[in-house]
Amino acid sequence: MAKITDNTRNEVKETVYSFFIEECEVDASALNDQTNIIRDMDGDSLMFLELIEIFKKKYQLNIELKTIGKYVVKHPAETVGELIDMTMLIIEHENRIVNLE
Amino acid sequence: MSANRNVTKVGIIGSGKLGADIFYYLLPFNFQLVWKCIDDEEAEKCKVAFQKKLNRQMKCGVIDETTYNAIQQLVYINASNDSLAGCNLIIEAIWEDELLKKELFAAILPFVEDECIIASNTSSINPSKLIVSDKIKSKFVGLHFFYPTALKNIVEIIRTDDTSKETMDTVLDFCKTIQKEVLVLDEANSFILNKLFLEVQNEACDMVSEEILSYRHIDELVDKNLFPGGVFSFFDHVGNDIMLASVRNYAMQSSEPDKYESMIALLEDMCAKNLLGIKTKTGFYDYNDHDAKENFRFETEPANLILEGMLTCLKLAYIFKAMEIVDEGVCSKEMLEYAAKEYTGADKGPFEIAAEMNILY
Repeated sequence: MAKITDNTRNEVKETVYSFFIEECEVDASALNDQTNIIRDMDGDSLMFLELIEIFKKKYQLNIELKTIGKYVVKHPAETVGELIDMTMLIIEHENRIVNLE
Repeated sequence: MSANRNVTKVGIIGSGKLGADIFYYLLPFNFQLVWKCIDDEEAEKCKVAFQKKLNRQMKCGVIDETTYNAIQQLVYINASNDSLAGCNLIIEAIWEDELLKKELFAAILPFVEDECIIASNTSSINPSKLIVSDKIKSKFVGLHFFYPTALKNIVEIIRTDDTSKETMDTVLDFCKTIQKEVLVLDEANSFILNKLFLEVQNEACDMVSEEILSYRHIDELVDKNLFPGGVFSFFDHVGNDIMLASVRNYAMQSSEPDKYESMIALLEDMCAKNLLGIKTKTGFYDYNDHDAKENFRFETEPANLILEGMLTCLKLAYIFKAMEIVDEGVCSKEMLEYAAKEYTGADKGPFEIAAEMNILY
């Protein structure tokens, strides 16, 4: 399990923002926690999967994509902020995230 | 992960949502991958996107330099039919249109080896309808991936009367290599998972047409009690034009095609108004604001009794279709329960819901 420090959320936020700025070619000033990933940036599941792979490596997470997917289907992250929140939960709970309500 | 013994070079045709999804899913399995796009401009876009992802993966440490270089050697993205030469398996994932698919197969055939297996990722057209030459009859098969491929652990293999055992064995072996569970179906029972959910979707459309419940009411009921995503929200995400094309095909394959009239009429109406869903920012819901709002709202909330009654109808549509599938010997109860849960991400499949309703099966 990854150790969550005060700085973890900032790191996650920075990674998520950098990812969308590069992948969706959006201006940093146009991006905020309320930005809708699909509607405002034409985002898709492939982007989410790539981000999860990045965090899996970065924090050495013991996670299976299919397990994470089960949680995501029930709790879809629509905005950048929600995606950051979800990533924090994945880092904290790893595969046990499916047991969360 | 090592490449399959028989299948070493895979062609993927189509760069839409599923074509791209399948390509990226297959990337770590060490196949030689040819990704054929519709034209040079699209191929260039896909190349740039692929390179960007690969560079980022190396930068973030997801892959090392050796893997980065190996992947570059294994992937070829372009628009030419002759690039498919040497493929052992070709997976077509273009627009769900019978004529377009047949034109494509006719165009690639001169470049394809005699032994190459051709698979269509069609979700609603029986594969035998897409066979354009006797030469490929025994090597043609339906291979239906679900989106997003990485998160859905199941694929449907649809064999025609002419699909050879060798083709089936190779495709089964390929699916094992890419870590997918399979549902093997014949054409009389093709696309069984979509047809299972079609019964719930059809029931929901009848309720809307009869003005019993609104889209939101139904989506809330389904999302909370049957499977995540609801019905109309799901349509909007898939695209109402794609749903319409699929439902028309399912109706044609059904012994009761009239049953789907109201569903087809509703989807036709949405398409005529260009309310295609997320891609046009409006469909059954309006996505222009941050919170999706339904485009059609009842002035009064329905009574709980109505909601409960309608939920029972939706559940029964789901359960009875599942029982019919098992009774017809299409697959086992356990497999269908697993596949339904895998497809929807729900905690319970149709048979567990039946048991909760004290319906013994």
